[in-house]
Amino acid sequence: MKHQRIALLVMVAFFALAPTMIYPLFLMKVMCFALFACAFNLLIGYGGLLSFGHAMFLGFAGYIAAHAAKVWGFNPEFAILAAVAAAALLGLGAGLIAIRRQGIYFAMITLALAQMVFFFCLQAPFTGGEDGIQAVPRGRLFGLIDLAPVFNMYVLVFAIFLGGFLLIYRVIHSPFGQVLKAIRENEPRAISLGYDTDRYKLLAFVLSAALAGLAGGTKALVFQLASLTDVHWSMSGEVVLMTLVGGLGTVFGPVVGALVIVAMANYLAQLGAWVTVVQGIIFVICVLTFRRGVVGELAHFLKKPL
Amino acid sequence: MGAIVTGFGLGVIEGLTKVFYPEASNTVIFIIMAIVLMIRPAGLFGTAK
Repeated sequence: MKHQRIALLVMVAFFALAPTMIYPLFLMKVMCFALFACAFNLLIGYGGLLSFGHAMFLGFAGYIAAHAAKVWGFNPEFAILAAVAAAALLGLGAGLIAIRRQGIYFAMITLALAQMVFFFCLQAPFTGGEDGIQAVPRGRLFGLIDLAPVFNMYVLVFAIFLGGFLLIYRVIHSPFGQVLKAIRENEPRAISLGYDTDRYKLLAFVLSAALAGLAGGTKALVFQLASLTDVHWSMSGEVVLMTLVGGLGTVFGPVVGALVIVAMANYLAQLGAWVTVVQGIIFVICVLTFRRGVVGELAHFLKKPL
Repeated sequence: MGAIVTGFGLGVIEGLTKVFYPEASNTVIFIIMAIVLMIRPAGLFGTAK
């Protein structure tokens, strides 16, 4: 517990002080993806469910937030809430279908559903097809605070990220989280102990989808853009990569993973198409040499959960 | 055997979709996959263990 508190302080201090040295827009991107990866980690790291379609929640929520802010003229907080609600509903629908299968079949069904959402986003009239929704207004938070200045937006994103992170932290350490871990370790045994595992898994799935939607809605407002890249299946792959590099089933792992992956994509951009090659090499090295991920190895070294 | 038959079948279906409704040609195989996994978890030719 003490180590986690120190790690939390380090993380908060980093994101609070970093914008003085690092480009703030980049940090906001990192926080959006970190929240997305944390939501994903809740499902795979603690529930043992590998979803290969999480991009659908990120991207679809982004479209909803962008549409609500631009066409319906919602305030940013309501646009993001609408995005979270849409992602949660989508998660409920997808979860009800996918939860009944296990292992590779679960991954394949979520992938299939994500491809259908991708198709919907490509064809639906309100999403703008290949162009996406551009020039989304950031608006005024609660009708008071103008979000156009970078500093205001940064504080909002930081607050959303921290709120989502602490919620996940609380969920993991609640009795519900313990049941999820029991399901991950041994599902038949959890059933024999009287837990309705399908209900727990569905709840975790919806929670994860809603938090991914929170990340997606925020991201759409930050970049003032909702596009197809966020719904594409390669985004689902990227979030798996972030979680694995950071450390599966660790609280802070996905944040570190997101930082590493986004930083690589950003600072290696001049390499062009070679970024994916470098990413692949790092992924292979990561799996071969430190399988627990950056934070997982650190936690193993300290013999404390992080 | 199942892989050969369904591989051929899905190829034909994707090709036919390209003729009638080209936008959905990439999605149709995923729709079929989802439906098959829903009603026959072991696959069309597989036997449940």
